[in-house]
Amino acid sequence: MENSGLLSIEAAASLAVLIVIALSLPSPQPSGAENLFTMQKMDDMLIVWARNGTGMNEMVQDAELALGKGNFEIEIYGEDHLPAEQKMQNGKLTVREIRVFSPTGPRAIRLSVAQ
Amino acid sequence: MDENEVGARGYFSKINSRGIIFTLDSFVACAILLFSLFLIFAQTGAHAHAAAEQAQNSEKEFFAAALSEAIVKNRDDANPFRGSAYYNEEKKRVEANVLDEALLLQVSRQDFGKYSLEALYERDADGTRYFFNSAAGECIAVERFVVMKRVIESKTIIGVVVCGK
Repeated sequence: MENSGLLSIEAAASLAVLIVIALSLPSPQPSGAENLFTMQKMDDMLIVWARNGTGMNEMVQDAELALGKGNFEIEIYGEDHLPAEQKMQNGKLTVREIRVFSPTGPRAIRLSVAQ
Repeated sequence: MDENEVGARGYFSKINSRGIIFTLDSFVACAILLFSLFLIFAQTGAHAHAAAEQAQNSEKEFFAAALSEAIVKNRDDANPFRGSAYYNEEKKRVEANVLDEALLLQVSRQDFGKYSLEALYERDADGTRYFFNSAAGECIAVERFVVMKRVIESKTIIGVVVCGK
């Protein structure tokens, strides 16, 4: 079979199959315990913050110590803006939340961590 | 043989005239096929090996996670490795994630059969301090964020180091 290109149809098809196989090979998944450790630490922080009435700056310092810099997000919601409760692990984002009922009214602290 | 001849007959005639090994297209296709098979077997083997190792490691990780959970949530005065949480006299209850330093200082190396508690440390902005440390071999550390009850209470990270195969 004549082919004016570099490779024939057969060779090109083989190459395409090789690429498809290489792309579809399973990649090693992170261990389930890694996520568990992160969630434990997140829950620990929320419990301590709720107990101590910690301010935002201190929360950021604590989170940097426990989780490392830059891969987390902390949100605080007041009584008027309490969001729907969220505790989930969605793809590469782990979200934990705690409700705090203080004399000044309820508030929610949400901690999100990128895995 | 006419070089422009097309169709199966012409193709096989060309292979016969040169020998299949020297047909570049067939050689490339064959090489790619063999390389694909090698890649599949090598990747599957490596993946299976990693999965087996991970399964073995997971048991130790879950044990360490459970042990750290017990230490920060419970209190056992006789066996502080089972719980060193602070007992609040006023509230008449044990406070989760608040550790009693006096009790934690009594924790020492513990053997649980397959695994053992080999080290306990505290980490904060000033550095890492060990309560005790006999860790060697294949160990993992689970860190927990706690309040340490001492003369002046402080927030810190406690590391529980579990070793064993």
